[in-house]
Amino acid sequence: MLRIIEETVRAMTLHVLGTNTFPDLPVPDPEASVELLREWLEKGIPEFGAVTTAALLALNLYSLANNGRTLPDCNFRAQASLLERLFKRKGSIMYGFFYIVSMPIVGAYYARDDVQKTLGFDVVALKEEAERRVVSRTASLPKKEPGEELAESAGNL
Amino acid sequence: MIYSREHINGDVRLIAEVVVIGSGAGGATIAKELSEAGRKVVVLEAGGHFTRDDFNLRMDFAATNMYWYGGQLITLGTPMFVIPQGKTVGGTTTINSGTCLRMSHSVLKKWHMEHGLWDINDEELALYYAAVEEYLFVQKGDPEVLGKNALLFLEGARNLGLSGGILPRNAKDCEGFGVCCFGCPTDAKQSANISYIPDAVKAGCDVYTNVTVDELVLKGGRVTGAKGRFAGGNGNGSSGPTIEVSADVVVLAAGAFHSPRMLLAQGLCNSSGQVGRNLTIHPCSPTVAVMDEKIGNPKGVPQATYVDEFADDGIMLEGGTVPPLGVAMNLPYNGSRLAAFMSGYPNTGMFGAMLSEHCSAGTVKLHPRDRQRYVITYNLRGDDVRKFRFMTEIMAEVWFSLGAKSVFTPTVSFPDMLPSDLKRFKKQKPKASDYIAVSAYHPLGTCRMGDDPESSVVRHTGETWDIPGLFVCDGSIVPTSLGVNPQLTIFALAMRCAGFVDEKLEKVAGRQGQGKASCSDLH
Ligand SMILES: Cc1cc2nc3c(=O)[nH]c(=O)nc-3n(C[C@H](O)[C@H](O)[C@H](O)COP(=O)(O)OP(=O)(O)OC[C@H]3O[C@@H](n4cnc5c(N)ncnc54)[C@H](O)[C@@H]3O)c2cc1C
Ligand code: SF4
Repeated sequence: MLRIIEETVRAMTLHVLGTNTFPDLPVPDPEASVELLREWLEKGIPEFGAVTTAALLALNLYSLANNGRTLPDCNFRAQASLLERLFKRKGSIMYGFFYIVSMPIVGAYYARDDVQKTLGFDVVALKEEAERRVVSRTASLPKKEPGEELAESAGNL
Repeated sequence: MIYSREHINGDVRLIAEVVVIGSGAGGATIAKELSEAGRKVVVLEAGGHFTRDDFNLRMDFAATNMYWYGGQLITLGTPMFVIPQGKTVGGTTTINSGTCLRMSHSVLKKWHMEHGLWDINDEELALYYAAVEEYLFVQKGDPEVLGKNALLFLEGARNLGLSGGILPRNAKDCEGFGVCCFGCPTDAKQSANISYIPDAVKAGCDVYTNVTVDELVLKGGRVTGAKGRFAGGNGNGSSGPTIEVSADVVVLAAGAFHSPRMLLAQGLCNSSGQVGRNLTIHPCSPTVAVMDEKIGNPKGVPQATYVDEFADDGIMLEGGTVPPLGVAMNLPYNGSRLAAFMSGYPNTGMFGAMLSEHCSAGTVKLHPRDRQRYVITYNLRGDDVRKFRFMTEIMAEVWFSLGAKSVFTPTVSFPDMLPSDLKRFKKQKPKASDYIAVSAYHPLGTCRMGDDPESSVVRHTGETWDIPGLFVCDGSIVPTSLGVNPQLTIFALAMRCAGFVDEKLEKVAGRQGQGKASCSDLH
């Protein structure tokens, strides 16, 4: 993966997720966004890779044209205002590019166990519970013991 | 036995009576029926074999391991649809939502009138449906586990005078873990990976996984087998050993994209010019509602209730509970708006709708530079655009009647709709290009059945018009959009096709003046 692409995804992560004013949500990890994009580029159709790469490069050209620097080289505030401008241009090709690039960032963050748990979806507890409930085609599942409820999402929010 | 990549040390040569390509709704059913009838069947499946132990409730795990192209398959056209397909033992049934509905008499009538399929009649089809339903424990979901989201939406719809109910599903002792599309972690969902395939194996069928078939072998105008290649050592790509299965009958059951792709790549069975055409997809569109009350996410079944008030117009509403990642990926938000919305996940409702009968049709064509791949084109057109728009409208109306503060729609013009926006939304001229982030799950029709070799690819039996002994049996033979989710119909048609394959084998055996061929493993 080109370095500029990695750096752009890293730089965009905090802006796209916008979790800084939501202290209950876990802190984003820009490396996870880069990692997921790498996996998608490896396993996805080549066209997806080409479109994503083109979108990332286009965002940087847009940044060069507007701020005289690539997106990762802009300061945090300049990055934020540029991305906000793009977000408002719904229906435009630049918005489309922005949307495509956001996907691995959103995907990597909301796939995290700690993030999902915060939102009430505790995959670890649910998996443990599922392991105890083996459905068979030939026998019926025993009735649940009292208190043996689905791992309920306490959900911190 | 189910062979995976690590069982294989070198090239494999096999002889069977039937080789089935693909282990999804069509392929698994054929494999079980014929194996239980005493036939020697080999199944070749491109995906890997995963079990409940592997299913970890994670969408990212499922997407990268059990979906073609990491779930990133898209249609080219307006709007663009994400159209995920399963690549694993059990095919798409392993990662589907489990809804099981019979198609209506009016759709069958269309098959009769427009495609000459008089050989398939109501009574016979009803018997196959009943047999599949019994085998797969199809029953209405238990209201105790469906989840508040689905029941609330149904209640809202009914309060507006719309008809609807609880969906029948192929799930036994389902406890609403809500992750059917990532592989059921309790084996409650009776997908082909835990029903048809194990029973086929019990009856002597061999299943080779991580094998991508890339060639149908022909001799003297007849099909005589299939060739493929195992994935590389890491389970990816197809750089491993080769496999060749010689057989009297080949059943192509690779799904509505891969089956036509294989035929097109070899220039086979296309005297009608219909291979890869007539693609219907049941276009879908979601709504996400912000509610005051807690919806009880994430407990529930992902597709639990339906509203069929507009079924005659080709619109079905179906929905249930979706894990947070599924909601986040469906939102055209960013920054603090995204975080604010997702923080409110326990208060979000989600429901979807599909155009269950539509006139728009797409194509599957060979990729111009890579014959192993394909390009899907599909444009929403004509009255379908209006109906697509109406789906969004009616779902928003139900949510607002339930007190939603706002409703996210996958449109550019009203991504975040307030109750006061609904009137303006209704007045706006519908445009296909207004939609983004839409999806579809039911590709059908690309090797359609019919009674005329000039306008169809296979007979009502599933056998191709052009090549004796080559059958196609998967969603691709379904000639029209179905009005309902397709798996039950594909299972039923495959059960029906199995009888014709068996008959064919009898004929072949008669011609060869011998009994049933025996399978010998020559590797
Ligand atoms: C997320 C999702 C949810 C769904 N929910 C429902 C639902 O609730 N109810 C319903 O009725 N339908 C549902 N569907 C649709 C339904 O699952 C499919 O219509 C059905 O499984 C199609 O059956 P098939 O036999 O045509 O193909 P598949 O089931 O897709 O099987 C085809 C198999 O062939 C294999 N294959 C392809 N190419 C090759 C090759 N070259 N070599 C070897 N193997 C190959 C594939 O890996 C796959 O395993 C859903 C689909 C999706 C994606
Ligand atoms: S909702 Fe039911 S069928 Fe679906 S994954 Fe959960 S337990 Fe399995």
